[in-house]
Amino acid sequence: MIEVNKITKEFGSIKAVSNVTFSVDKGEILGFLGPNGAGKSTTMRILAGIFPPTQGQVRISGFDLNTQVMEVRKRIGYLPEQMPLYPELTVSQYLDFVVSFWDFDASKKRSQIEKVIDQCGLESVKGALLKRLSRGYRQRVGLAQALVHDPEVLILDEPTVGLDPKQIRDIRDLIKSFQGKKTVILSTHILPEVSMTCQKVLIIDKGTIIAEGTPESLTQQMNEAAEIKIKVEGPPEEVRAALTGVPGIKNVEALGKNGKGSIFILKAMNGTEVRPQIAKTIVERNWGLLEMNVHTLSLEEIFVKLVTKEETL
Amino acid sequence: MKSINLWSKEMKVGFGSPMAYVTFTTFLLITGYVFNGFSLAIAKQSIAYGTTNMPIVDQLFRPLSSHMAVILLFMIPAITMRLFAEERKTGTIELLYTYPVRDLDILLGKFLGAMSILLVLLLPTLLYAFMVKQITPIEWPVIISQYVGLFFLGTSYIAVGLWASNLSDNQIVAAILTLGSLLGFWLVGWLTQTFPTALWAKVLGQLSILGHFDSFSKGVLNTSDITFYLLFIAFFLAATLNGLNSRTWRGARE
Repeated sequence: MIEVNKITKEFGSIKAVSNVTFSVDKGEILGFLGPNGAGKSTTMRILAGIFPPTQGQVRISGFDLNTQVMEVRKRIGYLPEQMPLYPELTVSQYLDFVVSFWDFDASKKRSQIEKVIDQCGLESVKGALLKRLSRGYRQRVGLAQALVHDPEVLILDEPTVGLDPKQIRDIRDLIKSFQGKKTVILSTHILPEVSMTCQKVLIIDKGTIIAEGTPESLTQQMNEAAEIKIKVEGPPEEVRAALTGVPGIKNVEALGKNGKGSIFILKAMNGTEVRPQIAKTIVERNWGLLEMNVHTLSLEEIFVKLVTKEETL
Repeated sequence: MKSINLWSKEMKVGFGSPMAYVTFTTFLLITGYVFNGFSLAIAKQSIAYGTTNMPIVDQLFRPLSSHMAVILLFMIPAITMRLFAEERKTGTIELLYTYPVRDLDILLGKFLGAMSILLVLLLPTLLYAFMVKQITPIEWPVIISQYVGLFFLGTSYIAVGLWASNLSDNQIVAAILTLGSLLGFWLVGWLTQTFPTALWAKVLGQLSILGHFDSFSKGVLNTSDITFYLLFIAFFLAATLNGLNSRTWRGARE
């Protein structure tokens, strides 16, 4: 549905996006993660047809963005990061204006507007001037204009920013309901949002993709070297030597004494369950096993880890 | 067709902001003052020398329309400055670029919108002609020619204003640039008086937007003057379209 092939975007000497390639299948929801200035919005603006990439191709619904931008524009709905509005128009005037760009007949136009007003919870502010709307309502009007023509592809740049918790839940449910029907790309800072709504995650930093996969596979990938933290009562050097000998353990790091015990961080090889062996080793030698924790990384930690790894390089 | 949607939005936005009303009021106050001044002068003359032989359209409406041409020059930048600059500043233009609408439609929508405001600005001043008609017969064809001229002239101002508004996201910059350019196109006409024999001065003098208005104010619809305005408008619209295209896609051209 969406194929992005090696796109690069330069603003003068600044490279905002560099050699980004990914694809999204029909009905899939893709989460776009990255710190501020990572190139998320730039990528989304290219996909939305606002400006062309300096290099590379984008195909949406089979149409090449470089040569058939009008066909692409007919099929996408775009919610910008900061929803710009005409302050002098009312909500329904604005939606009338937006829907008029699609060649629907009058009754279809009306029913589409009614549908999005209902979906986005705008009934109570239909007649209000856009300049009087609160941030949450502005965001919902933005979502309404992206949905009003029932597009195949939705590009949502931080759709839940500025909403209260209930509204966030409503919008997430709405986005989730598109699964299987519309192809969605959404960017966000809020990581649980991705694991909640998306089937596929893309982590981008400094304009390049640094990780890609399902939320589960990313978690697994990062847990390849799962960390186990243990606290042992016993002679530190001997404990260390004994633990290094346990099959399946890659690395032992001593963190020093803490109260009665010494703390060690163990890195296990991918997929091996080493905990029973560790316990056995320690008990056999009559040391005291005071604590054992397996540390699984949340998406948030993966994100921080990937991004900071990049920075320390 | 889509330019009509944009035109209708321009109308709602244009008449939804106080700028339009401030401009209307100012324009009507100033033209009213000028009309009053000329009428009083004619009245005084008539009292002193009895009735004049000059038709009222030449005595009153010709200088009035020439003054209106200059007043418009100062008013139009206030109308056109926001057209693109505001949408650039707020970012609404970017959203337009994600809808299936060509740059040409966006441009025409704004152009038609500004032309409609110009009509709304000019029409109430026809009241002056109706008032005078109560006292003395007037030659309507001359009045019509003057208003056709004012409309061509105002539309030329709008074309320059659109072009300037697309160059910046700052409305003040757009207004000053429009005003400066229009004053420039007015003042080149003075070259012919300063250098009456020089060929270059004659050629440049042809560029004077107000110079081409003279025939209209006399009641003459001159093909060459109409052609000048049409070319002038087309040139600035093309320049604006080119500026719009350069920021967007090749596929969105036309």
